[in-house]
Amino acid sequence: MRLAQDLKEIAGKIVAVLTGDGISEKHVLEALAEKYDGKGKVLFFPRLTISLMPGSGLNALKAVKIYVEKYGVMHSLFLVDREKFREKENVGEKVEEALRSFGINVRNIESFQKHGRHSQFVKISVGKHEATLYVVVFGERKSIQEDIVKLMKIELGTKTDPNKRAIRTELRKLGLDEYSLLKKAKDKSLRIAFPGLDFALKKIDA
Amino acid sequence: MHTQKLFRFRKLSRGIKNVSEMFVSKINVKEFRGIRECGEPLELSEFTILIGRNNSGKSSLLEALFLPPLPDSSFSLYGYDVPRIRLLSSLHGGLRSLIYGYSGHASIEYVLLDKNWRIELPEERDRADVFVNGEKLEYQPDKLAKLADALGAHGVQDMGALNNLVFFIPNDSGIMDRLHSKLQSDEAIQNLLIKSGSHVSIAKNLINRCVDDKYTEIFFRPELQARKEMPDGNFLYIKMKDLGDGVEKMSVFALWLEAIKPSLVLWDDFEVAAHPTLVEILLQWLSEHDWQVVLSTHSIDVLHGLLKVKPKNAKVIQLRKSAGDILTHQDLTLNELEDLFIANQDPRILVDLLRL
Repeated sequence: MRLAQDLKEIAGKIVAVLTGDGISEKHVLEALAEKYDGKGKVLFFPRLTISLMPGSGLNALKAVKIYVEKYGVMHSLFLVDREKFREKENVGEKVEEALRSFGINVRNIESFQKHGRHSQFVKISVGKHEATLYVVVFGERKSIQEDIVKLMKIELGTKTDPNKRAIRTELRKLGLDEYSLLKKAKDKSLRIAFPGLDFALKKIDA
Repeated sequence: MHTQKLFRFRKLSRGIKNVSEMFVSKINVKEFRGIRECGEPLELSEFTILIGRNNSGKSSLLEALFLPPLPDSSFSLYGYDVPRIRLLSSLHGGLRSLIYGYSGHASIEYVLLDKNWRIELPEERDRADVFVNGEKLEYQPDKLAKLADALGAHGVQDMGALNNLVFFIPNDSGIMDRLHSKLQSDEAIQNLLIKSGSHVSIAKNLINRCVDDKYTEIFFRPELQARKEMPDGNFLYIKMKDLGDGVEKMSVFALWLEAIKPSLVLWDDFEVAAHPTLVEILLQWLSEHDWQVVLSTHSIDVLHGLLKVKPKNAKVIQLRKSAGDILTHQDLTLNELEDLFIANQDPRILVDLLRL
């Protein structure tokens, strides 16, 4: 433990969490983030209780610039569903294109997994500031519900369609909900079901 | 006599709009209410929304904005015949409550109609000193012309007209009740509203858009009520108090604003008792008038409504007060507010980052 001399030191440890999608991302993030030491960084997710502009996809990356310029927060974690990208579309290239269109320069992109399927580590610059962006893509084909179904299969042995209603119905039958499933799940199961986020959090925590 | 005075308010407001788009463009507060000082002066816009945690300085700023141009000349507003400095002190339990730490003196600087104004509130006497571009302003009636010149309102001879340039709506049920009663009893204001058609336009353009019923007109006597048109063509006269707190509040304040037509509208806790629909309608109505607006809120509905209405030159100011009561702030444009919503970020929570 170290005594901070200046509150501004803390700013460098904050990672702003951005998502243009629903509440599941927050639940998954909470569950998985608990598994890490957390000494290195603080995840800051001032999420709206109700999405006022849901499904906005890559447009959520516009907020990166605001965090850097207005609040001095130099790290962002962006959570997005696979369906926001076209099939066979290169995630890194698409993210770079979006960032550039929002006035954010991309200096380097590093993939966390082969073929750039799950996560990206992006070094960016906004004006004179250098910053980092972690991109996590949920789902193999469509959305985070595919990953949640995968977790249910590992933890509960169930086979469910990857849509919100089917997941809710199945979990209710077992006296569970999405949040309690995630909270009770074993570390290993979470890491298998959400490999992209697992990589990103390791990188953030390093 | 009273009616003539109210007519002059309107003339005055138009005159001032020719001088500047905004009544107050900048404010810097020292030792006033809960604010020890501002880290930096706040720049206001034509439509400004203040957000921040409880006790972050929102109400204090609005009250500081309420003081100019004449903090301690007597006038009749809200049914009180007291100086506005006294009105504020009555809301807080004494003049000392207006001074930070209850001793010393408060100093508030403004850029008001392109001139530098400063108001000093000493603890030991209930009279404020006003300075315009460094020169102390004497605002006895015989010096009124000089004051009017400082406000860009050349030729105005009426102290009351200058007093009503700023209209403050505090979150105080007593003020609401007084304004309601005054509308029922003040014939001059009633005549003015009837002549301008505001009693009809507020029923049609505000009340009808908030409720499922159809109202055709507001009546002032024997008590404030709205005429409801029934499906069979008959009418019912519904007491304004029976339309619900939100509609009553909106109607009473809108009638007063239409009567006075101030240059600056200040509204604390704007969302109180208001359904999101009413919030949006009221924001739209406020934005359609030729006055500067500064309001405070804790409500995400107000911020969302702001994005829908998109008033001209609007912004959000996030406020945070340090443990030492230093006020810090961050401005957000409407585009930035929208970008934060798109990323599911709550701007009200983001104020926590201002401490960094």
